[in-house]
Amino acid sequence: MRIQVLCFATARDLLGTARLDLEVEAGATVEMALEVIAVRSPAIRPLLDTLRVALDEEFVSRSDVLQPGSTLALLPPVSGG
Amino acid sequence: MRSEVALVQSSIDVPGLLARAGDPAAGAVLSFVGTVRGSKQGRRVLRIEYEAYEPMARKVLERIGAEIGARWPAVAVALVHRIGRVEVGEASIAIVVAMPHRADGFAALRHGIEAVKRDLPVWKHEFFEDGAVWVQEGS
Repeated sequence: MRIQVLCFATARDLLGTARLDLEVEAGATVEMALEVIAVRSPAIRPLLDTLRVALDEEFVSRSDVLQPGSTLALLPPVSGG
Repeated sequence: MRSEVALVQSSIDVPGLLARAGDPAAGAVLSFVGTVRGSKQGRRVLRIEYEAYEPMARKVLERIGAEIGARWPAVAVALVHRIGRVEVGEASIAIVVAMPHRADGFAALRHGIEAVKRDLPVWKHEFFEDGAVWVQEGS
């Protein structure tokens, strides 16, 4: 199934794109999608420990399951304020 | 409770936020305004650019406002964050609360800014004379 990935700040710099379409297996978790991304773009690996993720604009954990058409956002440590 | 949240590309209208928060039920209208510092660890900061995951950031601001309304007897809450280019000395964030009494106002402001620092999907790109970096921690 296909999901959309949004990349912000250092995640965008490391991946070289603000968004990408990703093919993952049905029932894949957030963690599995991150692994697919890291295999394709190993430069993102150092960021994975501190990366937070959102699914359809809500923070989620890495064990959450993706749905077809989900929007997964890669959120480096935030620095607003 | 009246609630106002926004992500804005130009100057934050702090006097306007304060005026709209005022209410006969409020004995205390308080604001926290975060501004861009002109130096960091001895290096001159030229400007900041803020990037946001805008639809999610609006939801998080609304959530923080709702948390304040649930925990304190707020009459009005406003949370506004600047995005895009911000010059040294300009406001990057303003939080305004109107409360019956000041103690609740101070506590609510503190909660608001700490929640923003922890959860708001906004990133600070600092520009120095010799290059630019993404800030990786709340500061």
